Amino acid sequence: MAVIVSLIVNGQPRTAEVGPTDTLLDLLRDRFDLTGAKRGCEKGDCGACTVIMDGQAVCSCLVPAPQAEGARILTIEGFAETEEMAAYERAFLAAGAVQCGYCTPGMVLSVKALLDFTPRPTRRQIEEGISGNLCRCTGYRQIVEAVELITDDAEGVPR
Amino acid sequence: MNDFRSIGRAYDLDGSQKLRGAAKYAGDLSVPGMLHGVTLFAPVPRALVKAIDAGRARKMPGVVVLTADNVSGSNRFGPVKRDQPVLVGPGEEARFVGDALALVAAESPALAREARDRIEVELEELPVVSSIEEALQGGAPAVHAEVPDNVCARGEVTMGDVEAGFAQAAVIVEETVRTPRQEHAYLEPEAALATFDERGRVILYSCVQDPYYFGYDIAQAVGLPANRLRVVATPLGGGFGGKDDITLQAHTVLLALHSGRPVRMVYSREESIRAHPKRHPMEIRLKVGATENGFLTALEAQVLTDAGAYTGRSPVVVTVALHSLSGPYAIPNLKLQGVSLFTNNLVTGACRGYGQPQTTAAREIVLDLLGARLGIDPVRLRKANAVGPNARPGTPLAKLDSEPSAREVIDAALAEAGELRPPAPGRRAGRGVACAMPLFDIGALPSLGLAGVSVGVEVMVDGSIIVTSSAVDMGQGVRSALALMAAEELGVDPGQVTVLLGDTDTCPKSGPTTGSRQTYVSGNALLAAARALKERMATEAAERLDASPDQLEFREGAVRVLSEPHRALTLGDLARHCYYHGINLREESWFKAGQAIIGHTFVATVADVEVDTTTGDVQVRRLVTAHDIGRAINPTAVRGQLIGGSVQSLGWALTEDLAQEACRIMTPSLSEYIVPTAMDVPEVEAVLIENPYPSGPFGAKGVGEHATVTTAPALLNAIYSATGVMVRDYPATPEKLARALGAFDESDDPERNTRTKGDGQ
Ligand code: FES
Ligand code: FES
Repeated sequence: MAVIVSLIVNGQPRTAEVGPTDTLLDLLRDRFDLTGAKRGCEKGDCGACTVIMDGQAVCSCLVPAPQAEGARILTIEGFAETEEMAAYERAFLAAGAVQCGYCTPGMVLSVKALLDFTPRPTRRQIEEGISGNLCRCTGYRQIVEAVELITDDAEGVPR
Repeated sequence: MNDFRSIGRAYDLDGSQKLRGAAKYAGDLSVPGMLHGVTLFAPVPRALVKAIDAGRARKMPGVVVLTADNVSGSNRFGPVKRDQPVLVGPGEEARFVGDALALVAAESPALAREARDRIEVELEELPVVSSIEEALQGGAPAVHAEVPDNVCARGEVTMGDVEAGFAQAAVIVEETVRTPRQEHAYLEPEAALATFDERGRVILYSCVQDPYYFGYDIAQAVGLPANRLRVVATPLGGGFGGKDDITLQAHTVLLALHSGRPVRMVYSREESIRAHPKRHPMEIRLKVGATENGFLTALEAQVLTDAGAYTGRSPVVVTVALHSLSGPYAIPNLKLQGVSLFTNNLVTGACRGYGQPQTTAAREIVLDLLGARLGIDPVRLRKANAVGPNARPGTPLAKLDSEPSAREVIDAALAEAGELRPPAPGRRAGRGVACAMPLFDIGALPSLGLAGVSVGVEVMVDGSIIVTSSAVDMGQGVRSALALMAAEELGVDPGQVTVLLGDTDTCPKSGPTTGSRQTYVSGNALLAAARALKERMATEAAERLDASPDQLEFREGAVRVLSEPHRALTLGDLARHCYYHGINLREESWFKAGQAIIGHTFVATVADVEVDTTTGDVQVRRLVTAHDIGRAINPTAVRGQLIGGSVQSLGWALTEDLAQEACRIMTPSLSEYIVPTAMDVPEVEAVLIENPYPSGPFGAKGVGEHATVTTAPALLNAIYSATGVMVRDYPATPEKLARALGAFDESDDPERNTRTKGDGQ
């Protein structure tokens, strides 16, 4: 039984027909060709599919597509168009926080959600904020350093 | 002394695309008319396939089903021995849960899965061989009928006289250490798209570490001439050796050939864990002898490994394991034996470190036990035995062609680590050290590197540069490293260099991206090509600048007269001149190691932990790993390899165990197979020591795998120093530690009793 879902993706109203078992991740990747959200496990273990839904970072693989009705979704493709992205890009590249890059879009959006609520997090808060996003390449240290660079940048002061 | 302009810069050519979600991984690709493929895996670990009835599935509209009958090639593949079936057909045996019985393609993944569920398979279940012990038992079933003793591979290394060595020893320690099967757990599960070019050739896009090997092994397995299959490596979402072997790629090609349509296959996490080869679990029996002063006199070892159901890379991994056993120590007498056994467990293959993490995990903890027996501090023990100018390592593969810096890396790691900090109340703190001399393949081992690589360099008409290599980028940064090296050699800004990778049509064969080898081998081939071009260009430029070719240098985008840098021709002007005068500015050079030895780096890792002696909980406080890497072409990327590798090894030491019971997978997904999260990672730092390697490009050595070698034993040694308990059976889980610490014996532990009551339980 197909359902029609209407939602706002990266500021644009979008509508699609989805199957009852389709997830928000399926909808974004397979219908809207927004492949920045990655499939890593499809059960909430890895965070590679993270997007921002109504201001919160969510694993899009755990959100049934029909439940996204009326939601505002920000994917990495949308975030990449914002001015905020420039600071993220500088920081992630300077810290060496991108290796294979498969975790990266989800990681960036988890960081954004963290900084939206906690603009100057402690190291532990950063680690907690990204603890739902697995990264097998970097060992996380450089990602934490990147987040610190972003907040330093925003405040104009190094910590 | 070095006035490098590009080498030593932080540079990342791929980072922006990945950050913006624009990098296209194999599973992100789609083309019009594409079908979706799925696999029917063997439902049990071992069975005789009696019949496969796909009639009901084939009746579904638009569904394509393939079984072994449809395969016209050899239907077998394998990197060392072609003994693994692409599809197991009726009359044949399925030997592990990753064997494929049938393939289905349909308009959607859901439809394909539905069709797969309609395939009926008649099986006769057979008794399994589930462990090394079972494989060794007389009367055990043979996993392969033609190998009645289940021995997949053997190896032996002997030096000196081990009996005489033990006779000189004041103390002999004998221990058995077990290391678990490790899952690579790259974030990107395997995916592939097979499509057709305008001449009907197949193009396979997939996350593979060796496009040429995949091309030729798949071509013969499915019955295609090699020149009808083009392989393009997509960006790898992590590899770590696990994408050096064929999984769904042959299946995708078969489905495309038979349906005549493009086909995409994407594994789920569970399928990925089931299908791709793992790090070899090992049982390592060590006997070490030392004098009263701690000088090692003899080492004897039996290394037993579980190959899984097919040969995979066992023969090579056993070789590397044995040759790495003595590590960075000059041990005069060695007797090392290895055997790899067939079981019905998951196939094993390449996994970052390739046998060396296991042997190092064993040797380094046994050295601490030996030190304790002798009353000698672990650092002193290691330094006393370290290879040096007058104390050379033993095994043939361990011969050195660079200055040994085993002591230097220990000092550097300890200096960076500083003092061990006191523990939190109720916890005990400890520090552990581990050392190694990991190898990197300089192209000398045919079995590892398929000796010899080629790289292309072309100076375009405007002076911009294109580099081509079939190396692949999996985040380690080979693209950026090649750009930096080309820029340095040709005297241009790295931004002038485009690097094309991983495509068998457009890139020369550069061998596998494994063995920590690409910076070294592709780097050297690149330099040879760039130098040939420079020579040619210098001859032309000399005439126009009225100078002799040896007075010229390539710097800042121009060819300049050495003493008078304003007398110059831009590279663009020179290239244009060559273009119109028939001077070839495209060069492919071949690099082949001239010596049958292998490169080595020197590594020391210091780990600080705190242990809760009641619960066995281990908090890793600090990890410092020091590496003599020759030269850091791109220091940020090198640091990333060292820190990332350390954390993978941390996972393997403390939580990761891809356990199998009766050959079934006990940790089928990332809910059960626990890899480190950001919360588990301590302060971790990498110290880079740069003693230039004579034959390395700009002095560089290989580096990609080496941090995975020492971190695990450093952690177990730290736990030992904190608690007196040495775990010999990796991983050191809280349950194992708590049991060893006696905390589960409630009568012994009043504190625990009190707390249990206080909790009201
Ligand atoms: S794909 Fe959603 S958490 Fe892994
Ligand atoms: S960069 Fe590869 S998983 Fe994070």
